[in-house]
Amino acid sequence: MKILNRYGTLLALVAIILGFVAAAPDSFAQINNLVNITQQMSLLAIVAIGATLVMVLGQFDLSVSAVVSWAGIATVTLLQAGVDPALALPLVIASCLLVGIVSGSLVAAFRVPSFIATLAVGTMLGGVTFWVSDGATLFGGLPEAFRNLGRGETLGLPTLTWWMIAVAALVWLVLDRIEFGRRLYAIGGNREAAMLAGVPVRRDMIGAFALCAAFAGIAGILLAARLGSAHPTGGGSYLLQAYAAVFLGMTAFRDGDANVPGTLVGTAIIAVVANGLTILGVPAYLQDVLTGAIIIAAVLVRQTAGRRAA
Amino acid sequence: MPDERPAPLLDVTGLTKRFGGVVALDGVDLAVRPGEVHALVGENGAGKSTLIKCLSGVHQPDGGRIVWAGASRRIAGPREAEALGISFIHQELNVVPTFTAAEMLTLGRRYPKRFGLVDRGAMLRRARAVAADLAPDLPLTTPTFALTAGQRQMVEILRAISVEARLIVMDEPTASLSRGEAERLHRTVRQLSAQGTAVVYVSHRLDEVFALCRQVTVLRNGKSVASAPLSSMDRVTLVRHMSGDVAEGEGGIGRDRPSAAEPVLAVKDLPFGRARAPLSLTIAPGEIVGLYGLVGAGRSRLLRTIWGAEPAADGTAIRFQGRPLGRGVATRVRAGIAYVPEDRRTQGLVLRHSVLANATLPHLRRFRAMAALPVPARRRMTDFLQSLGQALNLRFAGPDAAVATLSGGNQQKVLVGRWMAGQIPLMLLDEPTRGVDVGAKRQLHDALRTQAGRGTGILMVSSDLEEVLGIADRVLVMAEGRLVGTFDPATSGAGAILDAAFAGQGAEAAA
Ligand SMILES: Nc1ncnc2c1ncn2[C@@H]1O[C@H](COP(=O)(O)OP(=O)(O)OP(=O)(O)O)[C@@H](O)[C@H]1O
Ligand SMILES: [Mg+2]
Repeated sequence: MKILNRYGTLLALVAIILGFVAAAPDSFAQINNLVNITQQMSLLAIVAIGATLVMVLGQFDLSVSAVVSWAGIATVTLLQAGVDPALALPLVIASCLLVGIVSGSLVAAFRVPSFIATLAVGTMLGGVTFWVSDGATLFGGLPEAFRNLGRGETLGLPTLTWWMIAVAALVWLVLDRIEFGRRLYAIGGNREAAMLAGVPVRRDMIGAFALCAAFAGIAGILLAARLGSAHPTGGGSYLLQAYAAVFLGMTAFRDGDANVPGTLVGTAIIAVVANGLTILGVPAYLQDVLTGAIIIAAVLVRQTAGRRAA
Repeated sequence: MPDERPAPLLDVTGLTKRFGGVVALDGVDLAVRPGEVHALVGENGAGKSTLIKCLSGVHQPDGGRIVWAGASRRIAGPREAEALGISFIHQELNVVPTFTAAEMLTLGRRYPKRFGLVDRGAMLRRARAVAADLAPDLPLTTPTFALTAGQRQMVEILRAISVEARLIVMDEPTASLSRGEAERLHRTVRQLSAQGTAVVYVSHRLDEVFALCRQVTVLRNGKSVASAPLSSMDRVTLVRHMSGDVAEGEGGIGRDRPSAAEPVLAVKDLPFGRARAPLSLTIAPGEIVGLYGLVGAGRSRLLRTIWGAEPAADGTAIRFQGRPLGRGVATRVRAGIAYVPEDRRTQGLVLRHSVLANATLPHLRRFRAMAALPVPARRRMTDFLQSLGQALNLRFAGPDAAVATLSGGNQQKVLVGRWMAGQIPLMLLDEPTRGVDVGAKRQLHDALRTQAGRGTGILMVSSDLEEVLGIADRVLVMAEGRLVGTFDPATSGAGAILDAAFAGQGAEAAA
């Protein structure tokens, strides 16, 4: 029971993988396909890991999709204008940090509910993105070096997979092993206790929102590099999927707290289901229905297991 | 006569603080010298916690001066206060539920590190060293949500003493500790004092104030009305300073001993505690039964189990008026049983909601304008609140003020007082007078006796042995999840009960 309680979501992932292996041994179970899944999930994972930082605070950032889109459009616009990538990319990430700082300040200093603050900020950013791009898909004129950030292989794995591993390792360290992360968990657990303990609550909250936006920005840049183009709503699907991954992850490993390994498992579940069902020829709308059902099932299993263990 | 004492370490003069229309501090002076244990006393709502929060920077005073070590200071927040060398035990329990005790001791401070990363092992070792003297039994690796209020209190105490501080401010540190733990804390306070650390000590337990403190400052209605060495003051004078009028007296309401009617509550052979040893007890209508034990003995858990909030190992073992109660809280509520949890802030009150809403929550039905419609009449509710306020000397800005703005003791009065009406067959009370001042405690005791006089059976957990001896008809002692003795307070004294509590614990540890 304890195992199911602690590692239920992980077991679910394994079960789903085994299910697809049995159903489609010569297509799904190929090593190439499995490697491919890690690439398919990578950008979603980066966005979801960023959202995890804010979720640890018990807050939401609903602007991640808008930030992904913005970062893509901003990057392509700058590069097409001939700006050196070594300057353009830091500029774009800085702009995303700024967006996060605005959201974070609204939430932490002015106590605007994060739902509202980030929804408003995301909406505004969406408008700016449309304005900059004129509502059109931007493509062409991108340096090869930039494109290589998001395609091809490095040391035997897809480049994007490496990005995911790097971000996951970094944020896991930050949350689990660095004071900043421990303070975020404290704020999420009991904001007043954290404040009384001398935690700089506002600064840390703003920091978490800024980092979340920065990771969404990185995902947007990588998406543009991979596609060689950017669309003003290119990040549209990330918001719901990222939070689905975070929620799935909260039912794994730790007692109900958002955490990086959990988010990775959650992302993997979503990616595996999408990949496997596509191989089996299941239409996309059914995939969405199934993904939602999996989230509910994961939470239910955990709730009942948790109750029995208590 | 020249003052030969050392210059004050902390010198507060004319401090004022207003919350909207409420004047919480109205010109407070407080001078604390190095190495001095300084009592800060006053009725509920007198302004003690507000003063302390001005020192910790949680509140900014509207006027007055805070002079620390000779220099006038503005304290911006808890971080700054700790940097100055002041650490705090706040009145309410402020722990992060998912954190362990060990991590709570480190939070907001310098974490021990290895290669730049948080070193959990070192963190635990450090916590063990701090806890060794004061709380050797405290589980350091359990998340704090699984600890009892007393244990959480211990965590806060350890947190405050685990940094180098020149002044430690303790706001009711013993409110949820039993005598054993309190005595250990007293020893620690004396040690700190001997090393030159000053302590400001807030307590409603006057015995410990006299035993521990050298100097006292009394607050009343936000003003400091007296400041003197305790050696120059007796208990009656002190209480008079606090309340401004009559001295404390004996409990007012006499009561017949309950007759041995059919028990209202009967627990028979309930497997309980880690050892799953069978536990039995009965409570007669009109009987007040005190449940005493050390922190962690399992008293709160027993109450929660009877209340149905924790699953009972045997569903038929708990009988109410002869019938088994079954599972879940809902059956208890329907039977009209009352339960007052130990932590008012996380389990008892809806802090954001008004005093009125909190006071009427348990039995909204009673306040209906028309019996057939589930619409409570405001008039009836405010009437109830007013009578409650009078009976318990409640201090609040108005019925619509958020209950969070009440002082700790006044919140407690709302939590307990809201049950004091009508027909209640059984009350389960967990530390009902925690943080309540001397006068209000007497009023609460009177209210409980009245309630018992109407036939209510009362099972009451308290860590305050004097209280238990004063009010209970029968005292049960619990240790390590077992009932280890039954005492009649009329014939047995505090010594026998304490012995039983400690012996029970020792027996288990030895086994
Ligand atoms: N945040 C707040 N908003 C409004 N009023 C407040 C607030 N905090 C305290 N008060 C009021 O200030 C007064 C002093 O409260 P305080 O908590 O300092 O009392 P206390 O002496 O600590 O009492 P207790 O012994 O019950 O803990 C009370 O009338 C209380 O209602
Ligand atoms: Mg107080």
